[in-house]
Amino acid sequence: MNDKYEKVTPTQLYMLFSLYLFTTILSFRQGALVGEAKFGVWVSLLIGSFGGLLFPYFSYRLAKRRPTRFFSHYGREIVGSWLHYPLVSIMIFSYLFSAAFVLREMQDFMVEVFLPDTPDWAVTSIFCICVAYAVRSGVQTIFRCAQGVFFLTMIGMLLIPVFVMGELNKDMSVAFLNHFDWKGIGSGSYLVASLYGQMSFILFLFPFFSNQQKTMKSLIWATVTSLFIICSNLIPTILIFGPELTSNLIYPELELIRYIRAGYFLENLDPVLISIWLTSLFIKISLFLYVAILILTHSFSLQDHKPLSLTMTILMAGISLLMVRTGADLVRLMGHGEVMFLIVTEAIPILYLVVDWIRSRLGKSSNEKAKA
Amino acid sequence: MDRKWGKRSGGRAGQHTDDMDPIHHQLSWLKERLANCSDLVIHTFESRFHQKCALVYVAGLTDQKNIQEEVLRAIFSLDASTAEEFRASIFERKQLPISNYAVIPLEAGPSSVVEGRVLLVIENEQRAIRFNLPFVKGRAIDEPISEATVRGPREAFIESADDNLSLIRKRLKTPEFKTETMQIGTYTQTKVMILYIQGLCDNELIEMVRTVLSQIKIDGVLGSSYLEEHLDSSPFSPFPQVQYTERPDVVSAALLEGRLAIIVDGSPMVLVVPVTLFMLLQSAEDYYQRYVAGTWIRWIRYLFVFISLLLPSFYIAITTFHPEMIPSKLLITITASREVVPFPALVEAFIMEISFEALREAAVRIPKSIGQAVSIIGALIIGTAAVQAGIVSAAMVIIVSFTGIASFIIPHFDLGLAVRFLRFPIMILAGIFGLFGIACGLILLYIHLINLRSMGIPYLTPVTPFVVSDLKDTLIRAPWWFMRKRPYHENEKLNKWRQPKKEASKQGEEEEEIRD
Repeated sequence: MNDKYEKVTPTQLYMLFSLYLFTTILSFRQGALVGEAKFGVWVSLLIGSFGGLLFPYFSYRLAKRRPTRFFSHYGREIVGSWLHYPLVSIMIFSYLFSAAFVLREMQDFMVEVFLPDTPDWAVTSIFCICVAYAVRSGVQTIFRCAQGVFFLTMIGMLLIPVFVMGELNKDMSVAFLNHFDWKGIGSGSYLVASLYGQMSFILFLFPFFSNQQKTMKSLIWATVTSLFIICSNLIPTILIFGPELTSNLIYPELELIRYIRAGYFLENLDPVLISIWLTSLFIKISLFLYVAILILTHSFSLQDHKPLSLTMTILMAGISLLMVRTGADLVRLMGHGEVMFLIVTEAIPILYLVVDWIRSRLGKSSNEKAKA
Repeated sequence: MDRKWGKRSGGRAGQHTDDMDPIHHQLSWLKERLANCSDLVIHTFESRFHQKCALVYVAGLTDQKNIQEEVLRAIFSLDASTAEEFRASIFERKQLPISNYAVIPLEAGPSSVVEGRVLLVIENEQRAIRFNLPFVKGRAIDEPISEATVRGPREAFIESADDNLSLIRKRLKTPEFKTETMQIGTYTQTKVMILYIQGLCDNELIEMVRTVLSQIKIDGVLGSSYLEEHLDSSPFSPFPQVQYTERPDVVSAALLEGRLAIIVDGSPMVLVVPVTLFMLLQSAEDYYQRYVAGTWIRWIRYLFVFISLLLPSFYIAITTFHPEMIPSKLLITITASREVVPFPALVEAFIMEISFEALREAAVRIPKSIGQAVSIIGALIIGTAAVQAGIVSAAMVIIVSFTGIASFIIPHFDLGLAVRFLRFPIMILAGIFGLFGIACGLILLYIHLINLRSMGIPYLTPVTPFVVSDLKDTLIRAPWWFMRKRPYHENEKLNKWRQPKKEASKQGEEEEEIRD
């Protein structure tokens, strides 16, 4: 009776990745993205997202070759233990670091905007309790978490542009069609591709998926949905603040939300909307951490990931608190190396795919020779 | 005393004479097993063939008038010419002109007697006859107290399992409606019945419930809650994982949805499994009102669940951390009322909420005659004196009162209790981290609800896992003509259609026309 609830369905996959993809871009990367691409940001998003989608596509092709086995179990059969374990260690660190990075961004945001007197560690700790509980509960819980809040979050995110419609400087909109700085668009696409390419970790979760043939379909739809949500929020932001101000604001989406006035009842709605938004961040952090723990569990040939969940959450919290001193350092870290590091990690499955393909071709030809 | 009935002697166990040697052995064994039972009656008599006989029963549990009128008359009117024939016609041919009797070994006699059966013992016979002549005083079928409706039926379960079963059987006139009976409780031997409709209820569920119930080893079962806690998958969860109801129509509806009911003798509450959060937020009245009203009231209920859980926390968070959210005029009013209060908003809310919980508990426990007085004192102290004395603010009184009213809207009492209980940790989080704390509290609660299952069914079905077709009875209360498919039916072998598919019904109509 329980088995049918243990698998991740294509709908769950679509819903989780829709939330996963727009959340960081809208929350924290909007300024950097607009700073690079200016009015051509939508082109950057299109190129970057579909370019980034190639990484999960190669992961998918690799995973499809052994659909019932976990990559961490069979990876060493492809490239050998000596290369496999260092590469896997890089991936574990990458996902752990990504989780810690988003956590740090979230913590800085909360402390700066809403809880100026609350210590950083307290904010991180309470949030990490939620993350540890979700990660301990397993992959199904994380995906179902996303499923439950999907419609609520979508409605929340789509209501924001509706409410600020009256404030838009519509004359500026023509610039989206005639102002293209291709160098900036290229840099923007590079940034977006690194974020969309992170979906390549489906490789590690593949045996959990119930209808594996539909995986790429779900990811493509999730990409389309997230692009729609990002553009529906990003374009009004630029039309209100202009590209220069948007790129210099730390949290442009927050400023956009603050344009909403809900009449006399509540002066502004930003804490409520941010509470909804927080759930998407929570899902993203939990998923990154879960993947890191899963790889570690399989690498050590452990049966259950649960014993590692609390330890790894504490490790993530530690990295998050100690990785940089200030928010400015965090921005510098993102601009210098983090994107490249992500792209390299995302490309690791391609190496496995190529080696596996060559080995299977060689294996086939040697078999044919032997037969002949 | 009629001569043809033969010689009779008897009375209470203590007064019984031991002058009947051949039956003495059997009776002394029975008396030994049932020693110190002052309500035990051993009625000894001699048959027409001078065989020593005895009727053994518990005075309060059996219909003594019927014993006289039916059992004794039947024994003495039996058409037999010899003692052997008399014995054979009772035990072998079962010719006693009385319904519902069984031949049992004498060893099973004591348990039958304490269950309220009448035992006939005959000399030199290792078998006995068991008559079913119950006489248990109980209350009559009454109106539901905790689940009242305006338009729905007004019958509620009582303490008798058989009467409760008849109330359901009356509504489900189908041979597919099955009942299984078992006894649970070493001392209470409580009758427990499992009810389901074959073809609608998943066999795995039936087997699971059967296994759980058969594994219960307990001295006594005095209410359905004794079994409820055994059926919980997550015993530490504050949320109820089994539904209980006192309405036979609710149980019938649940059985038609392919769920399973458990009747426990002695309890007016019937258990229903599996259950989801959204089922617990449905009221019987939703289905008797027009669907527009049903849907509207259901939305109000959902809204007030959140208000009941979060309103004090929001108040604490907004006044403490996010005053910029409140319009300036309202902020001035709230600040003015809080000016004289010496406590932070969190402490103030705690004082009020705990006082309110105490008042509510007191109102339930105290006798009705002084209940009014306590209500007045509570209202005066909390409503007026506390504000005037500057201990709490008027705004907080409004918040707490509103939260109190909201918590009564939840139809299932245990779910209401869970929400009342969970309000406190979320208030603490709101007091420490503001809205961020509330969001974290809700995320934790949400993960817990996602992990929770009732008999294997996820608690948040149909929202997650997402079942679009079941939203028609969750998000809204769809009209009956629209609810053609049974909810939560994934097993292909089960009949999932409540109303025939359109094609099928059209085909049926065409066939009828041809026949005409």
